Amino acid sequence: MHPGLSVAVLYVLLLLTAGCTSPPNDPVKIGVVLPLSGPFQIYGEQGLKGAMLAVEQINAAGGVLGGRPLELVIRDNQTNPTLAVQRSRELIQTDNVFALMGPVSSAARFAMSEVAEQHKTPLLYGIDYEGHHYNRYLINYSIVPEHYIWPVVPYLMKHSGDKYFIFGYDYIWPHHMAEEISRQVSKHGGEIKGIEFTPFAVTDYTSVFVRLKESGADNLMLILPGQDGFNFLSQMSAFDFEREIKTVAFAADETYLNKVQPQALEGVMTALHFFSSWSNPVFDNFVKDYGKKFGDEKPVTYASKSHYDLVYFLQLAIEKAGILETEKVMNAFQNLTLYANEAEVRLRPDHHFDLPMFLAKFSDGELNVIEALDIVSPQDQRPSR
Amino acid sequence: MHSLRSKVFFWLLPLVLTTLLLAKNYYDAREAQVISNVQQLALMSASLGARELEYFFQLRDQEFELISSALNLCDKESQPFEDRVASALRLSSGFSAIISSDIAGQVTHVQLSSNHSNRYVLQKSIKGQYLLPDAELDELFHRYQIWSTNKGIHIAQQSALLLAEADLKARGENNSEKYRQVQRKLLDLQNRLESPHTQVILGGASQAVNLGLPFNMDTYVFSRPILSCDTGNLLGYYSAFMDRTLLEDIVYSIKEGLLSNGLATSEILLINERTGNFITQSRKLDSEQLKSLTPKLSDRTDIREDLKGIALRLPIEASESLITRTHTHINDQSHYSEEQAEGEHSNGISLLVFIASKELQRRCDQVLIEVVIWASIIVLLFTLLISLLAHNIASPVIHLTEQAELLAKGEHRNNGMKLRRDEIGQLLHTFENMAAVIKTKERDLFELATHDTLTGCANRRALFTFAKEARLLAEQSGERLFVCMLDLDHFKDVNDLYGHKTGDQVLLEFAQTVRKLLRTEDKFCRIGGEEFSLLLVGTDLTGAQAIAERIRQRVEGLTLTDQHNNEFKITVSIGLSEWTPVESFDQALLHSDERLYTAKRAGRNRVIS
Repeated sequence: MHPGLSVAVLYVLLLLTAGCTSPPNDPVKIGVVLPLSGPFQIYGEQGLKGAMLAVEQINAAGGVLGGRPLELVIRDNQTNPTLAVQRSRELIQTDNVFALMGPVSSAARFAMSEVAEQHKTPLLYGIDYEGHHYNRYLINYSIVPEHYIWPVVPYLMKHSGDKYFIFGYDYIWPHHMAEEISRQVSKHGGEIKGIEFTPFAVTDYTSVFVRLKESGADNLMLILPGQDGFNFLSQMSAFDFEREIKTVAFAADETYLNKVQPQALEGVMTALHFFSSWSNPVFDNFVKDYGKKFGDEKPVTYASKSHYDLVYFLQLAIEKAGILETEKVMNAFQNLTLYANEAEVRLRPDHHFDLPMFLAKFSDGELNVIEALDIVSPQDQRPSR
Repeated sequence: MHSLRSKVFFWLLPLVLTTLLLAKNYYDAREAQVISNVQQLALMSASLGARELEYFFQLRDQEFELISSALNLCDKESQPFEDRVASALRLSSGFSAIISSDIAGQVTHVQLSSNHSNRYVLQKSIKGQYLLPDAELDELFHRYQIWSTNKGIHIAQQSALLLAEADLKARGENNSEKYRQVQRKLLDLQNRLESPHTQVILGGASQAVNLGLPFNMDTYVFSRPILSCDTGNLLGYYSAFMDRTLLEDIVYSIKEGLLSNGLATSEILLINERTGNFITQSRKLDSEQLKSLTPKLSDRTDIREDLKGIALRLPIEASESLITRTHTHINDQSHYSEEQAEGEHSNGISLLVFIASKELQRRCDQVLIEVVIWASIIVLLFTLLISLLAHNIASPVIHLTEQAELLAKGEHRNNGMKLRRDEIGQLLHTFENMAAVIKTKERDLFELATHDTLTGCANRRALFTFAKEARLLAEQSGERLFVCMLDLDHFKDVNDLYGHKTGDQVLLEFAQTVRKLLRTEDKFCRIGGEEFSLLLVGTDLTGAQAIAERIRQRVEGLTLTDQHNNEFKITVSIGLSEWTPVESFDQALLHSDERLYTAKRAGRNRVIS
């Protein structure tokens, strides 16, 4: 037979095959349920921006599994757990999302994680919380109390005093924070001078300041993020304590710079896994890309970074699994890492992260890192068997 | 195209074409199977889902009866209605909340159930808001009125029946048809007396949202009046809100079933039969589009062109009877009866299972890929085998042809072909044998044509051929050539004296003697009879004379014998001349022949040059 003829036959067959194998390019949907209104709106908005940036970058680079783009389906839960449940159910049952992302508050996370577990859908959570929440489908890119307190207490012992006053919201996260602070303070030979909790939306904190002054504490551990935290710090700066009290405001980030008078923030410290002013190749790139997309004047916060990274972790897991099947992707999440050196974040078998922590201080209307605290690896967050 | 290879290929081509045709038919069959499978799957999901929904609604109906019974228990006077609600809710698993109102319909109390879906509800107060739409409230009040009006009649009927029952019992008639009839009527009256029948509506979305329940769409609301335990007077109403998330979960479980079968582009919906609106959310279908469809959706699994997919619609009987029953309870006077009569719209809901054609197409494409790959493999294999076969048959034939052509040119070499045991092998073997025979014959013929058979000397023709070559060589090397003519003296006498046989013997002996004295480059031939010629190469005149003289002496010294052993002697005369480049070989021969003649005349047995 003529070799040319066999080549022709082969060619025709290949053409036929190629015509049939148009790869399915349906988008991989991620349902985002974040508070875009209500008390935690600021965290929801920051997180959403991070996720949007990551999705844009991943899609520009060709998506996942050879050409499938990622798509965010965004819902506002108004910082309401019931709405988080309702939106999540709708996203899974009606929109067929592959994974969920969000929310912010612990109550909403508990509610959403139940929906996620019931429907066997990955849930990516990116806000600091009290810790020890584990289920198969929940990934917590979170600063848990150990991340914060293990490095911060020894620092204060060395650079400030050994007497502590704890003040925070009356809900589960501040409770756990207070417990961990007490443990660490006594471990390092310090002394707790007072622990107080407060409901949401209190307007006047003067009585707290009086008790804080009388307690003789050197350090105030403030677990009051969001609007109430802004008020508290403003009022605190107007109060005369007649001595220096070092304040660590947990979960205080770059957004505080726009919300609180600079003199009220002066000297306040905070510890997080990301500060936009700190320079390393990973942070620099992220801040640059973020500024390009949302405008340079917009604050970049750890919530943006965690949600941004979470989308990348999902991409890594999907690529590692090689197929869009929930169980395989959940297995693929094990021991993934992003970045290297100082910026390395590692996803552990307990679905929590080893995170690099930094201690920063507000000063002259800026938030600058005063000490890199190294990567903190909390204890296993799974319930002990 | 007339080659053996092409012929084999074209003869077997129908096989390939048949294979392709077979692949096409196989694909068609698979396609039909795929579509039928999906249709079966859709039908099965729809039927199972519908059954589950039927069961779900029946359960809710029974649960509400249980709740009602618990709420109507009047012997626990001390327990206020609100407390009874909490304990009554514990009897059910399918309701989210019971909301009670006063006669005007304003909410007075809300009790959430401990259902799973309520775990994260942040309850908001809806006190003072209206529980139900006005029409429904009117309806409830209307029912209550009819119920209380009929109460007197029913009580009278009850007493009459009780008397009849006692009568029958007194007669010992416990097992008759009549007794059973009385029992049935009594039970029915008891139900009617207890409270007005349940009113079920599909609604309550706004109340659910206001209350903070985990859904924001219509659910089933079961309502009844609250009656005073002491007086039986109307105190207000209570409504139980069915837990819609359970309904959603059932719908999703049907969808999951399809998803797990790889049908990603499917949609499961609940449709309100009365309005045609969707009760669950849809991202792919539009309720307005569905309303105007002809023919209407049914339980047929055909692929619909207008919807681009398979769309099955199954009514949920229980959901209809739930509403219809509660409304026909008072239908004698109700406005519902007319509405019911004029429109064939049902009050219930139906389940819609939709699978997009795209999904079918994707599956068919997968089958197509599979078939094309297999067909390609088969066709390639065929092509490969056919070309191998063609090669196997044609290549020895081609080799044979080449060899025959070489043989014709006289250049045949027996080589190249491998040993084969088949017919072609035999053909090759035969051919080789034939070639060998031809070669032998050819050699014999050549010998015959160029040599004298008696003496083995070249003949005259061969001498001329050789002379031509020698001349060419000599021209290149510049050597001189000499020609001798040799003639045996008195050979006629030898023949006459000793016979021809001895004559032949003499010629042979002479030729052998001469050949022994020659160098290989010299050529010796018999021209005819006893006349020989000799071409000497690469010598000068003296050398040539010496050779000629040596021949003469050696012949002279020969002693020959005849058959009778009589000895005799012979001599030879030789004419020698140089063959100069200017003359032809004929002329050279002529010159030496003249010298030979001179030698003969001079008395023979001498060399003249």
